[in-house]
Amino acid sequence: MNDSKSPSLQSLVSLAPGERRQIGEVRGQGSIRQRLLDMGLLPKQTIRMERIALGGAPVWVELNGSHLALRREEAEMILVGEEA
Amino acid sequence: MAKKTVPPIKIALAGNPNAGKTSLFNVLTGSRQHVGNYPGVTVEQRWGHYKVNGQRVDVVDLPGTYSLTSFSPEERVARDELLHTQHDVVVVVADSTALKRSLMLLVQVMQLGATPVLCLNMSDEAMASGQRIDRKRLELELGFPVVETVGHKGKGRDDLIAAIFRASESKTSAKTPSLGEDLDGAIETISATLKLSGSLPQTKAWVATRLLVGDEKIAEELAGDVSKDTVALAKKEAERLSNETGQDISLFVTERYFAFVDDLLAKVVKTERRSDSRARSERIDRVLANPTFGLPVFGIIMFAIFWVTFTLGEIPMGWIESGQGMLSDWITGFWPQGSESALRSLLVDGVIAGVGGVVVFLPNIVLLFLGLALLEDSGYMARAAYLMDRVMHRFGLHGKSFVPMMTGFGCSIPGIMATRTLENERDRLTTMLVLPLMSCGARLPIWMLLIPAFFPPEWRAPALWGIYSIGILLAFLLALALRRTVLAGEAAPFVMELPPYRMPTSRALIKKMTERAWIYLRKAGTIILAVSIVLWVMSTYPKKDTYEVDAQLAQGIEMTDEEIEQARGGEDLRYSVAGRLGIAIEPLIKPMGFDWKLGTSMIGAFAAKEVFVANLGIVYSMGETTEDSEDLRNKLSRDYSPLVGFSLMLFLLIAAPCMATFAVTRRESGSWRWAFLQLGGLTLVAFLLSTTVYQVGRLLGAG
Repeated sequence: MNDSKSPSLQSLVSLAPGERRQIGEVRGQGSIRQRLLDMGLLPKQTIRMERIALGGAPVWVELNGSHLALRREEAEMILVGEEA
Repeated sequence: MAKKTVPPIKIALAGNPNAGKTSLFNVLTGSRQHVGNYPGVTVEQRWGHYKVNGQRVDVVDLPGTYSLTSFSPEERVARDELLHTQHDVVVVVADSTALKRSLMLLVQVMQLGATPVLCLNMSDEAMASGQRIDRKRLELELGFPVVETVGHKGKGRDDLIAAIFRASESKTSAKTPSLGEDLDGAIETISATLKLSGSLPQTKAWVATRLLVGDEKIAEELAGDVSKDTVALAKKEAERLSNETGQDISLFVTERYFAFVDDLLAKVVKTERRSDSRARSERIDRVLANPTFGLPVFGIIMFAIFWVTFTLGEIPMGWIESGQGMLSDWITGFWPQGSESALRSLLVDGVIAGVGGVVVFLPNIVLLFLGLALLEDSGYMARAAYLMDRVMHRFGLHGKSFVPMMTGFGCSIPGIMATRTLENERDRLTTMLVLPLMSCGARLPIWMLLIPAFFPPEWRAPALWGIYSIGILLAFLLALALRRTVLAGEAAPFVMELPPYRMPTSRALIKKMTERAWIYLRKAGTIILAVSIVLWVMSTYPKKDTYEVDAQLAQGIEMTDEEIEQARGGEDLRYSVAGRLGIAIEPLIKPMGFDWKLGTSMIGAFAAKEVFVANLGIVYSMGETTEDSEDLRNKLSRDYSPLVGFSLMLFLLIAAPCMATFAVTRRESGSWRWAFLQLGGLTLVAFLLSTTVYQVGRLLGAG
């Protein structure tokens, strides 16, 4: 199922600050993925890139009104689709 | 008056980190509370109680979690507590500004068959952002009490207490939440084969869900109640469900949890106007979290905190010191002048000097923790962690490790205590274990003595800078080594919430300050007192009967009374257990270029690092020794080469943290194992490094 990556999905880290997208897929496995899911990072949710720290990570995103920081490794697990 | 004793009501507070659980806990229990560690783990445990109308209510504050899976120690502790302890009421504390995520946890608590109360905390902020919750309707939908509170302002306390009482009277378990026909069916099928014993039967729906998503830990833990057949059945059901839906099972279940919450919120939440409650935070973050300015601003903020800690702290420190001086004089006054008394020496040189040496840093501790509490409660700490994480993560540390490590420059003890801000156990242990490498304030007198003794004036400032840098570098390298060895394992996910800025309340700040101050004082009164006495005995006994200096005097050598006194003191120390120990360990420390005099002085340094200076003075019988003592420096540079001096500085920087650090590491890590690993590991590294430096240096012709 994790291989069903559609060509239009791109990694969260590739977004520029201010871009708003819909989450398409949450990859990875085990506890890290579960933590992402538990925090509401689920497919079809809208996510907005707020800012990116010096050096490209961590990234700061907004989701359902709350703000979260993600490391590069975690942000790369989140694939986003078209603009929302 | 024979009072009928009513058993206390037992309640637990559960909720996400940052949902304001702890401030609600404080509002409920006031000062009637305790902080400790869950046995064997670094997870903080808080429990307390309050009374209403004579009825006692015992409260346990569970660690903040997003879910009740068993991946992190925090989640495991919260889960175990909810699973195995019979709580009359479980209060789920929700962050009203992030209801969706907060209520995810509530669904799991409902599955556990608990008697819940939902507490919508920070309701003022949610209101301000235009969110209206139909509380009555929500109560009706859920079937248990729902209250609105503002924890850090103490609002809604009475409502909460009344709701808890109502819930405990009703004794009704939450009805199992409906998660969709297909999933409910699977849960029921699995539940039917579960034969849970004791307090567990009502948790069937939750246990079945955990088995469905393949939680092996639950299956192991409840091996007596969960049969192999049930596990196999759960696996089959999971496969069926994910085939039907085309989703993996953990995503499927998590989505259903959220769908339940969405349905609920659609019925009870109205957003009147979309006002951006974060507009103010956003403006502040444009500066404070700015990729370019953020770091320098953070540097300035940290500097300001340290400056206040040390300059403002000096004033009360002076009072404590003179108080101790007066106490010493007062005690000394009980004995006639010039007389010998073991008890007086024990009280003055052992207890007051030892415990006092620790108590004197209390103002620093209080001020530092005030600063740290400000950073934390305002929400800035999360920004600092965000800014620092990239560098820290490279070395296996966490963005939040930075502040405790900086604190370590002042004193390792508050630094190690400050690692409590790290939620993840491995991050916390790594930070704690390498923290003593930050050259603390007590080591400064050592550098002040040794550097001028062995370095020419133009090299003194770089030498001091160098010793601090070596410490930082080693801390990072050892952190990396720890993460590759004993603390290896899957990296904890870094998904950190960045709450909006909030004005800290003085109530919360004072609470945090006094809590830390009390922990610190209690330690001074117990373990430090004990070790001070032991060290005093070691460096005092056995006593000599005849002194060589007396023989010299008999030969007509002229000395002042003070010189005689000092010479006798030196001989006593050499003759004492500590002195003999120093001589005994000489072969061990010889590879580093040290002799017994340095060895004996180092034994005392375990009590407190700065004791090394005083001890060296005694060994050399130099009289009242301070770090500026010119005579002692001259003797040192005469007896030892600069190479030995450098090797000595390295050793004192790295080896054995002081006993207070050892004790606090034991306490904060929850096990002797980590404290001994820190003690042994650092000493070994110090030995290897100093030996290498000395031996290589000698081969190269230095020293």
